[in-house]
Amino acid sequence: MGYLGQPLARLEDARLTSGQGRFIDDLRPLPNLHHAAILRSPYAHARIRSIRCDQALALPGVRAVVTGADAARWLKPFPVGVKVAAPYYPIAVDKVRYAGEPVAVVVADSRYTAEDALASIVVEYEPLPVVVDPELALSPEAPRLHEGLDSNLVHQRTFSYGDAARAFTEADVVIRHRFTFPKVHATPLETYGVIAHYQSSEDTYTVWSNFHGPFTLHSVMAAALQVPGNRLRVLVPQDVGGSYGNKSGVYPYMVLMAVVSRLAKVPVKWVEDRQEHLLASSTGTDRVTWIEAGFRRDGTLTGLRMRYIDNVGAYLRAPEPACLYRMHAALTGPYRVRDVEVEALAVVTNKCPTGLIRGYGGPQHCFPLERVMQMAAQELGLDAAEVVRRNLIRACEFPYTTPSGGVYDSGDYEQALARALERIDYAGWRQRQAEARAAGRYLGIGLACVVEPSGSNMGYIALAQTPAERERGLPKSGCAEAASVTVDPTGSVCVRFSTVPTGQGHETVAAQVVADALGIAPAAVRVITGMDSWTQPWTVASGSYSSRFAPIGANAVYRAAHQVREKLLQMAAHALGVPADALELRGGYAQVREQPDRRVSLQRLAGMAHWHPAGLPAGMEPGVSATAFFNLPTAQAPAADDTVNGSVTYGFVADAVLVEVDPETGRVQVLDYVTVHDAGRLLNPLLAEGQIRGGLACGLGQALYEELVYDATGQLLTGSFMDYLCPTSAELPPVQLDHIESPSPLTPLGAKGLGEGNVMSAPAALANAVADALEPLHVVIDKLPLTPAAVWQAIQAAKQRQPVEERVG
Amino acid sequence: MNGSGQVQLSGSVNEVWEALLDPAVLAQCMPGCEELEHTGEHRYRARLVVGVAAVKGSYSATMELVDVQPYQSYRLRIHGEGGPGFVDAEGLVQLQCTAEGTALHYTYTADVGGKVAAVGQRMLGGVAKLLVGDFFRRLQKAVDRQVQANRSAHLPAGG
Amino acid sequence: MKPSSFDYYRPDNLEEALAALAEHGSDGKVLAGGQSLVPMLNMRLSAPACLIDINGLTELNYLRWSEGWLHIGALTRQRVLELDPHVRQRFPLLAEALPWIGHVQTRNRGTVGGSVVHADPTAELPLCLQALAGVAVLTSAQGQREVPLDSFFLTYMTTDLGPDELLTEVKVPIPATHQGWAFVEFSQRRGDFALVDVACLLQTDHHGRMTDVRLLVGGVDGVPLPLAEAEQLLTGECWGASLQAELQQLVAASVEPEADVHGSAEYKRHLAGVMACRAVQQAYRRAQDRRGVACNT
Repeated sequence: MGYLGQPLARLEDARLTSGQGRFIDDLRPLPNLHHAAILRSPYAHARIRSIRCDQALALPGVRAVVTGADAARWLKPFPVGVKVAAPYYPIAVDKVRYAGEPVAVVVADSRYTAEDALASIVVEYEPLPVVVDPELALSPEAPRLHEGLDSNLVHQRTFSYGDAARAFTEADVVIRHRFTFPKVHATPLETYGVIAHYQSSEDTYTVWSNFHGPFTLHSVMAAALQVPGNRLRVLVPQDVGGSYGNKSGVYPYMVLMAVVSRLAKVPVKWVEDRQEHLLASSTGTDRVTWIEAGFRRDGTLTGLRMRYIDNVGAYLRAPEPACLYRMHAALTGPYRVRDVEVEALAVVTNKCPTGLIRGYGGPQHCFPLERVMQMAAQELGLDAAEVVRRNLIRACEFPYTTPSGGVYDSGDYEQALARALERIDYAGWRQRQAEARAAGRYLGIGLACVVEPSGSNMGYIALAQTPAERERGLPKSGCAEAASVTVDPTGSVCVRFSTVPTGQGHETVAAQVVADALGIAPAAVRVITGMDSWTQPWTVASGSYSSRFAPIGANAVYRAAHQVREKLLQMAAHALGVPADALELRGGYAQVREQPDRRVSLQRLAGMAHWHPAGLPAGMEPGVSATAFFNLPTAQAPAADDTVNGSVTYGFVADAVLVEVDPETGRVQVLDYVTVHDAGRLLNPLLAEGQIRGGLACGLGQALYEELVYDATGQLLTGSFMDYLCPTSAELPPVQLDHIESPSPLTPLGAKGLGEGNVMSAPAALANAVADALEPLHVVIDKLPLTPAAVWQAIQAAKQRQPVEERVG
Repeated sequence: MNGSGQVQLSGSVNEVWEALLDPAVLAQCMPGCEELEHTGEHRYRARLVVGVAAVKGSYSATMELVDVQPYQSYRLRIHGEGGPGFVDAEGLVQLQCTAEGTALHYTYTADVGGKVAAVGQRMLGGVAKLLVGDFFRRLQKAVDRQVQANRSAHLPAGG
Repeated sequence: MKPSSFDYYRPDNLEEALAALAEHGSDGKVLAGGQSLVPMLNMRLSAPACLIDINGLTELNYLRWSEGWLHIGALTRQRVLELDPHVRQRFPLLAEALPWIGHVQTRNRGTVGGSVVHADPTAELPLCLQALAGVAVLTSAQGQREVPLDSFFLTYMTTDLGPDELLTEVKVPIPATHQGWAFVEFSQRRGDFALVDVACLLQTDHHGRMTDVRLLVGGVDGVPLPLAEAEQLLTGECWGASLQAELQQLVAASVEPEADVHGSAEYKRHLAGVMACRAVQQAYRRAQDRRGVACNT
């Protein structure tokens, strides 16, 4: 029995729970470290007329004040995936475009002094008109954010797969509706931190930060700093206090502090406070979706049309507009529909710029799709679960290629849905719902079935370019990760990889993989996390995002560990005079399977490899070390017909949730929540459960509590946790978890990523449940979060209006 | 944020108008006004200390009177910038002759930005209403005083 | 989020504290539990020249009972008040309201005096203590004065406390044993600032008609708002469905809340009406219970 698949307690926890973790704020890597504070624009859109720093510079303890004009001399704008004349610098140069945009940086002997100095910097602003709504931003009269552009539209592409026009003529009913999804924050416990040092003698920037990739952004940073990659050393500490995608957006601050260090001629440390984090770090996109779905009378989905507008904030910055394309391979979700048309747009407005976030495009996509499935059931007088079930891809159809090129590797969607319906007692609750309605109570059941892509294929980002543009450039593909496994002269094992965990427990799972491969205990495996771009192997795809550790990172470790295993077996075979296939690694020994007392210890083998290379089999290298780069061949560049397999593995989540709504106050109470997962083989069920519960909490937050609210002048009104409401343990309902396992045939370990699924499914399931509960009142649920005020408002609106859906046929 | 209200004043419309345009009167009603400088026709610069209870900030402010329709109405525009954020407020002031003297009707809009908006949104509407009401109550007192002073100095009360 | 510089005093006793206030009161701030003040300092929304830390004034940490009154020392931690069995028994309104104040962790530090002086328009303690006809005892180097709480709260976060005064005690008359009570609060998450909170105290006569009605709403104005018209509507009446409908409408029409991101003015008005009815219903039931009368409402 191996360690993989066991609910092993985490190896990280001992240091994390005893205050011995090593986070960015714990680091003081250099003498003469100074501290930075950032002066941020209070205006959402304004020209900067002048900045006077003399008073600030005169304060004792202040070393330097850097403005955008100073910094821009050493920077080029950040490269972006699409060519757009909207340059992005990490600090405002002559204009601010979002409230919170950095305008000046003070470097001082302490953060207290630096903040004192901020108050003395005098900036003259010329306020400009503001636009925050993505649809308004597209109108010709809208204030224009970027002078180089004719409008605020920064990206637009259309896609057509199959024959949607025909599919709609075959439909008996067409559901047409507009949905919106709010701008939300990932709210990790730890905020951004950067320590930057420019060494003039080497013309090199060294930057420590709690950045976690993707390491495509290393090239982006190097380009902005105008240095080759080997003169930008990026280091990430061993521990990062959560991210959920948010910390991939620290890269502009890394570049900013790097230049500030250069100008101030001292190493500079900057740790973000919570207000800055909510205001000016990185968020998800808010999205407007127009969806049309054609159905036959029996509930079969015949065709889909979607038009969505993502609000990327004030600047289109890497990796956007990938937010539009992360789910592209899974456009059709778990359904067998073949005819799809999509128009994807990205628009800039005077809000904080966006980036990676847990779910990344998934919540925005699944919300309208799952809602129309239920709306169709309602329209057709069919049971909602039946409509979903009818359209699910069948178990026998895997691997299933979607119209947009996604290759769903494995799954059993019907089983998962059936399990969810059974666990929540769907039939029983439909009965009780009817009784409750008769008694004047509003109970509702909501379902969501979501395909959860994991392990992003770098190629999907190139969908933002047209096939002709792709022809001209270097193709993009792959999802590689690198890992090294080494046995040192004393026989102990070290593992190093570049997944840069932020709390997911990669060390533990990696130790399980290596322990199984080498026949030792997980506690004996030293796993080194963090990053040093100078000294460890990494790829552009390295990092933690898109739930890629299970499908890719763990497999890179597996491959390296097995290379080491092979070598040890070869050495042992040589030493014991038996064929290698007669041997096994167990309990720290290489032993003959049939004769366990004929064995040699790993320690001895390591000793031989290090101390006596002359005694090794001919052609064998000394030492015991392997570095593996793992990639999946299914991660191809997009084809000329705009199909792409956007991720390498695809899991599945079926949620069923029961709510009661109080129409007097609008309060939604979750009575029961069932979530059934299929993430292939579970490497560590304890960690898996944690991920699921965390994702669910995150999804629940977006469904019921969270929104970054901006007023019409671009001011963020939810700038603290008093007003940006994250669910706490007190808000979480009882949750029943269940798993089925459809291992991925594509990887040795058969595991798929999980952790993002519930962020995608919970908002949809909860919205469906609330809509179901309030169905007798004809309430329309098409936006989030479903706060009590919002639900009440929707009920009032229903009292004054007819349903919006048009009927065809 | 926006709102409206009115205050009763004891002088005639003409007397009240003269008093309203007197910078000394303005200085008395601006909250926490520490300096008031006349920088042009109907334009002023001031340092204001504004806030509620412990939450106070020092703002460097500019004020101007526009759309001035003598003895009828004007708009007062205030823009203040300080550590806690900025304020852009505009009030339309209209005078109406009544039996007791003059009724001053006001409507206002205010945009608040910066830190105070980000963490204080829960109270901004109410506090704005409070401060604006405060301003006009002070204006009422200051105008009444000025009108009395003008009368006793036998200054002409205007055309 | 680092505060700007301030001087720090930690007096050992009341006399020293009052002397410090007399000297620094107008540009100083008193620090007790710190649950509201410290975040404001860190966000630089407040920059007093000095902090007078009164946590050493153990003499202000007391719960004393006199003829007809409970005397709450200003430094009494909210959690202590919450757990005191005599307070729970004789002031069930407070027992019901205190768990709604923040979280246990903040109540361990936050003080009764601090909450009253901070005067947040949605705060539970100012609302309930005013409903109970509490009185603020203010002490300075010059002497002492008492201000009934319904005159003490002036507007948003502003009380009648002078710059050189310290709130040393809140005293509350002990309610009649057959009084009905209810505290209800509506907030998005447990522990959040209330959108609307309501305190209700009333008695019923042997016909079940309401007397001595006190009905106050928090969160709809700068201070706790007594609903005088609603109290009049209820006086002399038995609780029932049609009275409830009338009350809901009257309360909604009597309040002018400000909109914010958590609710429009219209929603909050409606919510005030709904929550007031729930409070009155609960208080009525309890008043009847205490009389030993079965209640079918």
